[in-house]
Amino acid sequence: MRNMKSSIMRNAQSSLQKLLPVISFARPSDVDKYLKLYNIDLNSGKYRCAICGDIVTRENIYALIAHGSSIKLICNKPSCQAKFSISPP
Amino acid sequence: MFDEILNFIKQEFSSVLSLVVGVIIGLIASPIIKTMFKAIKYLVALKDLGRLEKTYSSVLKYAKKNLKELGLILNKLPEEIVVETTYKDDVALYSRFRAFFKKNIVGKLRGKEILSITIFGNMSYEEQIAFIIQKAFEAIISSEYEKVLGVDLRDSLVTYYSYKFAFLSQSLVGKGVTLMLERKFNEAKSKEIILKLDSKELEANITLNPPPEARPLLDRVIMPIIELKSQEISPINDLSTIELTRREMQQLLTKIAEGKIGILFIGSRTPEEYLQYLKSRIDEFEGVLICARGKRAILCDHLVPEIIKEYQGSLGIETPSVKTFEGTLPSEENRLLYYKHVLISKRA
Repeated sequence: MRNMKSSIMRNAQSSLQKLLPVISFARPSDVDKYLKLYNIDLNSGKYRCAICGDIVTRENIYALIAHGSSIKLICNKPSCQAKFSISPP
Repeated sequence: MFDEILNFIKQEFSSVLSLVVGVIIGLIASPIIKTMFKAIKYLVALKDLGRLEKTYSSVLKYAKKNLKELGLILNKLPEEIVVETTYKDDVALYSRFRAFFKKNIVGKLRGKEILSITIFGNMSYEEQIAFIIQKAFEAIISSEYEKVLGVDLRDSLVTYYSYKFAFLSQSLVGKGVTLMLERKFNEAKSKEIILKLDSKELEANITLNPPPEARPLLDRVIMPIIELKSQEISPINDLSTIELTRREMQQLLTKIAEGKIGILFIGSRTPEEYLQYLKSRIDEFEGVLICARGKRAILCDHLVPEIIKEYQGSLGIETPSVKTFEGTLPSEENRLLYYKHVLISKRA
């Protein structure tokens, strides 16, 4: 029983603790600099908000999340800002 | 005449000399001043970046100490964050060396995967600290409890814990951040319920056990119940069940906050003593919440039928409503303990 309990604790610990979120606060005027850094062309219209699915533009971008080669963008709708997490599940 | 010429040459020479010396000193001093200015700016950047990171780890430390029953969630969250760039009064603050060291040396050595997050917005530095606090509490409270708590209650809990943390950690986060979070909490829709649940006064009024226990119920009873219910309902995706659960939880918390539910903690006393505590005040409340953990859950199981009989006998309630919140939660020293909370009330 004790082994089972400690394995539950270990499993819970093993998932997200491996992540190290590296956060940058940037001003809206710096959007182009970051888009260039991550090689993202928002004019192509193929980038959608990872929460609501709306197209993300230079004007409505709120957050950019890069994990390995995967990039997610979040738009600035209040509901998406509220759901956005710095410790993603 | 000759003396005059000599004096003139001397004066001119000294002024030229002082000019040359001034230029040389200037040439030497200018890079030193520039370097000193850069060093001060760099130290300020390190301090401000570090303050944001320390805020996040302090929130986790606070939650691990005060909300230890939520340990399963807390253990899932990243232990730390790195802040690469921030800005303060329109000045961007960053340190390439520091970010490189933390990401590529410390992070990689500890087997971490880097998740780069850039947030765009016109936030003041204080707003950035408040943002980190709120997002950390959201990760602890809000995301996991979507199926148990309505949005107002979840938001109110997040803003309350954010404000409470800032208030207790004012030396780290600053008075401005505390006031900012206090203003947000004052706008929270379930503010009154949460303040009551976290008051020693309510605990003293509705606890059936005799004093001296006087610790607010929010951390000790309410958050564990929410966590247990969340564990129970997590595999369920049926919207009507989720909505019903949220409504029932809202009703339970409201009734406790209004003083309509009595609380009975099961400890090391005899069953007769607990029944006596209950009998002496049974008619004051609409129901009673029995709280037990560890081995004492067995005593709770023995007491529940007795309490139901009491409701049926002295109050004439034929079928009192019985709801159970049970499961394992982390307790002291990160050990898992069995928790059992049974709500017996007059109305089904």
